Amino acid sequence: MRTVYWSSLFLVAALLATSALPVVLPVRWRPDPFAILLVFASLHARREDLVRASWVIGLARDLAAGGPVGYGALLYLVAGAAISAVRGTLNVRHPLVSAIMACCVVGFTEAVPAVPAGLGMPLPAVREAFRGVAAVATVTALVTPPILWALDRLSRWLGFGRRPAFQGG
Amino acid sequence: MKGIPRRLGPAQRRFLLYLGLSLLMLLLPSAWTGAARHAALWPFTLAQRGTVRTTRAAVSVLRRIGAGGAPAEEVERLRKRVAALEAQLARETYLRRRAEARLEHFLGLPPEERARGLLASLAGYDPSPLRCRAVLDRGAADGVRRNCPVLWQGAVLGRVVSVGPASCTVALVGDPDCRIAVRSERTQAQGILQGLGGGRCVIKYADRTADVQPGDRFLTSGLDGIFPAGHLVAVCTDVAAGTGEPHKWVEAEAACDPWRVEDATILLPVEDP
Repeated sequence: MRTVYWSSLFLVAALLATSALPVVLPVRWRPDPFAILLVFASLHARREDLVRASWVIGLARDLAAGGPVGYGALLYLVAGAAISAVRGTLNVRHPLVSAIMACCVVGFTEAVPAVPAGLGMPLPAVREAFRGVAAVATVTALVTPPILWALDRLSRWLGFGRRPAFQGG
Repeated sequence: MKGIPRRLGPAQRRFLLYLGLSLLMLLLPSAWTGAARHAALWPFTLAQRGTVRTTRAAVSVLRRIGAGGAPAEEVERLRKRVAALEAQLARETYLRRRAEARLEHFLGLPPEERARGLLASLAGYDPSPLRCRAVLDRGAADGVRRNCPVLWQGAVLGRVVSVGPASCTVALVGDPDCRIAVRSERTQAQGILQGLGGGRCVIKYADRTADVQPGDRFLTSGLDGIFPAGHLVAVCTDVAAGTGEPHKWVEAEAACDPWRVEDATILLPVEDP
């Protein structure tokens, strides 16, 4: 049942990111569903499961979005490992912490590919690219706390309960 | 696992495993991974197409409610008609100029372009703000190949960058991987248009002395051997010339709004006789 639940979340995130949000919102106003899903996974998964979940989220993004396969998986794996390393010292359930976490995930996964792409491009182009990344990161941070609250309620209604944020270390 | 020190915990071992898998996938040829992705995501492409249509219908209903029952469909139809007429006007202007210079040219769409056209529906978009790509529901089985031009209402939408059995990925005009040889409709100034992501573009290598102004329309020049000449590509939004640089910096916006596109025309490659 838990596998079906998580698979459904992956599918909904992929459809939102590639089919629903682009039709409704302009580029810089679209939150990143994959980053929100990663932050949600950090609240509920054990450490080793979080590593796997972050890799699968990145791979799902690669397959659905059309970039080089494995690139997003690698970036989300590193992001998931970083979250796993710091969540023992942070109150990840706090809305501000989860918002900052989502912002950092978007900034890392979008800015890292932009660096090699920006080499050789004029400064206005680089500035424009990073403005886009900053806008998406900000919007994602703003919508993350209410979405996490709703997903948390859904999880409890489905009977998955609430795991300690850093069970298993 | 053999060779890995026992001090590594399960999380660290799993991290190294997935790190290796990611690097392995990155090293595979893009032709393999692209084809495998399109084949594996065929059912997801159906869900994407359904989601796009459902969302558009819902947005249309909400707009109608918000406008108090005003005919939003009529407004949308007229908007599409205006976009089609502007592309047609730009192309007609280009054709008239060629005919006046006493060169042989076709009036209207060349017959070979009509014969090569394949209608495709939009299935999904790339969510990254740095890329500008879309997935169409036609693939290798329909004759689509890499670098096939994609048009919408006579204007350039992009080019095919990867092909699967039943779908293909298109780099739209605002994508960094989409480069098009263009020419100003008004002054014939030439350059190479390249996307910056998010629908914005820059025209590179435009001569410093070229007469380019905001509002100028840029058409395909045909010099890249991919896009037929005379199709509307982008509209200039800003011009700057840094001191000491040999070229002008021309910013432009794609003529096609990809978020409104439902169907597009893929120009299939010309078969050798």
